Order: sequence, then C-alpha cells, then structure tokens
Amino acid sequence: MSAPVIDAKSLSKWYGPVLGVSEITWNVSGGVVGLLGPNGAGKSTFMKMVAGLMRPSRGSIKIFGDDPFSSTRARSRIAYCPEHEQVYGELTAIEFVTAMARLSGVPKAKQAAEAALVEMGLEKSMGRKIAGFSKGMRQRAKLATCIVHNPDLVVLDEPLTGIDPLERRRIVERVKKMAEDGKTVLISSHVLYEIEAITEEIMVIYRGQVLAEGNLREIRGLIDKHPHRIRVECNQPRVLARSMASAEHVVNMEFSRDHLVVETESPNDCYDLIATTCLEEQIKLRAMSSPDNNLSALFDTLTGDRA
Amino acid sequence: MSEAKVPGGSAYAPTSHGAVMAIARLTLTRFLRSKTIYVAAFFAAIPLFPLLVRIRYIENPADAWDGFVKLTAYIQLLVMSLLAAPAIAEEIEDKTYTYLWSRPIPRWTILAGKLLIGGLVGIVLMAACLALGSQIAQVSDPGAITSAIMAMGLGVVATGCIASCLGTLMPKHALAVCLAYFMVLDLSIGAMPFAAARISVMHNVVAIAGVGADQDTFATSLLWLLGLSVFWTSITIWRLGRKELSTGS
Repeated sequence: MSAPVIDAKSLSKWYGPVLGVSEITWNVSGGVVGLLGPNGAGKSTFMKMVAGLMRPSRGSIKIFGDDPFSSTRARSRIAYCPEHEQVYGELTAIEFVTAMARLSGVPKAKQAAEAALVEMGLEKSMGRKIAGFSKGMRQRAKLATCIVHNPDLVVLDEPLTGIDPLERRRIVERVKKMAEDGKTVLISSHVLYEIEAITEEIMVIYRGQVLAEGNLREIRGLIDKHPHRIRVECNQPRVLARSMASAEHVVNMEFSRDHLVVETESPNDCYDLIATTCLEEQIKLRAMSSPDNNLSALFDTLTGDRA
Repeated sequence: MSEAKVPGGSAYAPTSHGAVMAIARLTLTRFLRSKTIYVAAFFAAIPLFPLLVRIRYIENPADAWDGFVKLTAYIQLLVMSLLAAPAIAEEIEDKTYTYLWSRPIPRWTILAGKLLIGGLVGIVLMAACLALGSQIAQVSDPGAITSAIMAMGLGVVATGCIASCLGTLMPKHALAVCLAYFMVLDLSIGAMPFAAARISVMHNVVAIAGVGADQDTFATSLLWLLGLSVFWTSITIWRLGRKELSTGS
C-alpha cells in the first residue's frame, strides 16, 4: 500500500511564544487541495513544513512516508513555490530554471527548463533577465521551477496574490493542468474566490487551527448551523415578508420596494416556504439568490465563530 | 553521471558532487554579473601600489618583498570577507534560499559549492597579485614566491570558511561582522607574543610565507589553518542543518 502524499499528525509549530499552527492532523491522497485562511492564519507555516523548510515543534509530518526536512528523497518529489517575489534577478529565466533543474538532478537540465518555461507561456521571455519581469511573469518563472523536475507534490503558497486578472487566469489554467497531469497540488490563498476557481477540496485554517476540511459542498453544510441569508427579488416583498414572519426558523428580515432579504436557521424550509407563498399569493418572483452561497460567506461564517 | 532516479518516485535527485557543481555554476554566474568580483579584484591589486612606490626609494627592490607579502596577507582577509561573507548570508537575507533549501540536496553542498567558487576566485586574485608583485620586486627565489602563493591559498581557504560562518550566523550584518573580526580581532590576536596568536589567520599565513618574525614552522601553521577551517566549517554546517525558513514571506 502506498503512503499518503501528506500525512500530518498533531502538527504544531511555535515561534517562541507565538503559535504558528496547532495540532493539525490531516491526510491528503491526491488531487488539488486549497488551503484557505486570512493572513497570519498559519497557511505558510504549514506549507513550509510540508516542503521541508521547517521542522514541527510537536507532532510529525510525512510526505510519501518520509520526513521532508531531513529526507532528500521526500524533497525530490516536492516542488515549493514561495509566496515572496524574490528571485535571482541577475539571471535570465532559462538560467534560473536550468539551475533549479540541475539542483534537482534532472538530466538534460536545459532542455527540461526550456520545456517548463514553454509550458508556463514564457517561451518568448526565457532569455530575458528576471529582474525585468512583471510580477505575473516572475510567478510563472517560479512555477516553471516547480514543474521542471516532474514532482509528485506541488506546494504553491499564495501564487495568485497581486496578479492581474489575465495572468491569474493563465496561472489558474496551469495549476489545473498540473492536476490533470496527475500531480497533487496544495495551493493556499486568503482570497476565497481564487481557490473556488481551482478546487472544491479545501482546508480552512485560522489562528493556526483547522476550522473545517473536506469537500466544499460538505463544508457548506456547516453554514446551516448559522443564520443563512436569502435574497428574493419580487413584485410584492411586503406580502412575502408578512408570510415569512410567522415561520420559526426566520430570525431576521429586511426589505425594500423590490426585494426581501431573509435570515433563516433552516435554509431548506425557508426555500420551501418562499415557493409556497409565491404560489399562494401569486407573487412574481424575479430572482432568488443567497449572498451566503459562496466561499467568502463560508469563510466568514466559519471564522466568525472563533473570532 | 551526476543524478540518480529516486526509488519510488517519478523525480530525480542529484549526487552530492552534482549538487556542489550545480551550486558552483549558479554562484559563478551570479558572481560574474555582480560588482563584488570587480571590487575584490580592485582590493587584491592594492598591495601593488605601495610596492611600486617603495622600489623607487630602495637600492634592492627584493627588500620590499616581505612587506609586500605581509600587506597582501592583510588584504587577503578583506578580499575573502567580500567574497565569502555574503555566500550564505545573501541567500538568507534575500530569501532566495527557499529555492535551494527545498531542493533534494544536502545543505552542506550549498556551502561547498559557494566556497569552491569564492575560494577559487580568491586564490586566482591573490596569486595574480603575488605573481605581479614578484615581477615588480624582481624576486629571483622561486621558493619565496611559491611559499607566498601557498600561504595565501591556505589563508584564502581559512578566511573563506570563517567569513562564511560569520555570515551564516549573523546574515544581517555579515560583511561588517567579518571585517570587524578580521581587521580587529584576528590582527590583534595575531600580534600577541603568546601561543594564542596561532588562532589568527594572518599570523599563520605570514609564518607559512616565511616573512614573519615568529618561530612557527610551516607544518604548525599549516595544521592551525586547517584546524581553523574545519572548526568554523563545522559550525556553519551545524547551523545550516538547523536553519529553518523564518515565518512570513
């Protein structure tokens, strides 16, 4: 039986008295996994331990069954793309990626580096010094160093931060391509829709602790424990509000001339009630949406508990 | 063959030799594109200027040789501080060591690759300085020139090991700490009339070159320089092995 890609057990890290991550137990077997959390939540600390750049203060982490800090075998199967922008600016992109390929023991390093840069859409800029690159191009050059040695696990720390929309789309496409190629990708972000565009498999981390993990839809079930908002655009919001007011699961409402926002503890019952009322009162429903029905709301809800 | 297929994985890992050479190539490329190498070359040439002046005022130019070698040994400390102190320190300060640390290579190979290039550049610069100086001073004794070059080479190695260690321990002020160590501590200790002088690089280099007033033999000074190199390198390797990437970006 093969070892899990990431196997973290009671993983904790302190920086002196400051807690980095606390008691994280987590297994990843493959696919693309998003690591969500605000700045300072512990995402980077966790990723650095995965990449073998840090040792846990307590607990253990195994990558393909080996300790990544001490085992070069584990690190040969990992690629790490740091959050920071710093690169060897005096080198050209091809020199940078070739050097990283050599350090990974790739045979025919230059050819492999060229292929990685082409894969990242930098074929026309590979002879230019990285110091003159835009942030997005730098990010793609960094990503090229991540794929040049054909790793099994790619760890990407906030790869989309500060990138313009066009570059973001390019990078998202390439991250998806990595997953299609059979790599396990661990990607972090504090901007929730970025992760939403890439994967549904997530772990939410906050103040060093795991708030939730699993499939996004499963995690969304947690929302139902909290008031859930539904926005209804219709021609008679006051009539609809009157009917809704008597329901026990409705905890709050606000309305204007053309819409009603209901806060409920039981979204399913509320959707049923809205449909029934609209039919009975002949209310013309124009649109119905849930402001909570996205990753941002999920994150707000989950972190709201601990804040 | 400098690489090997990793069992159980799709990736490769370099041999230690392959890793050292890859780091050395990277360091050399960066060196050649930086100002450091030119500044070091300028400093390495400094002993030639007073030599050119001095030979005008003495009857036998060869009499200026001893003073020239002593000054070259002193300048060597400065040159190697420039070349070796930032070796690891710069990577730490610029956070580029993330790229090196995360690769499947032992960390000592990073130090070895960097010292290899720093040391070679240092030896070439100092040897060139001594060769030119011997021509200017019209030194006819090949033994004196060989001793001076050998002493300088050993000094370069020891100074490089100490400078890279100090830089690794205090990366924020690597060069300043190195200069303070060599220009103040090493020279002061080396001038002491006790056995403690043997922990000074300058003292041993001058003794091996045969231009010092001390009675230390070639073998004693050689052993002390090698001992200093091993001691300081051990500290660097120990520190590198424990070094973790600091938090944040």
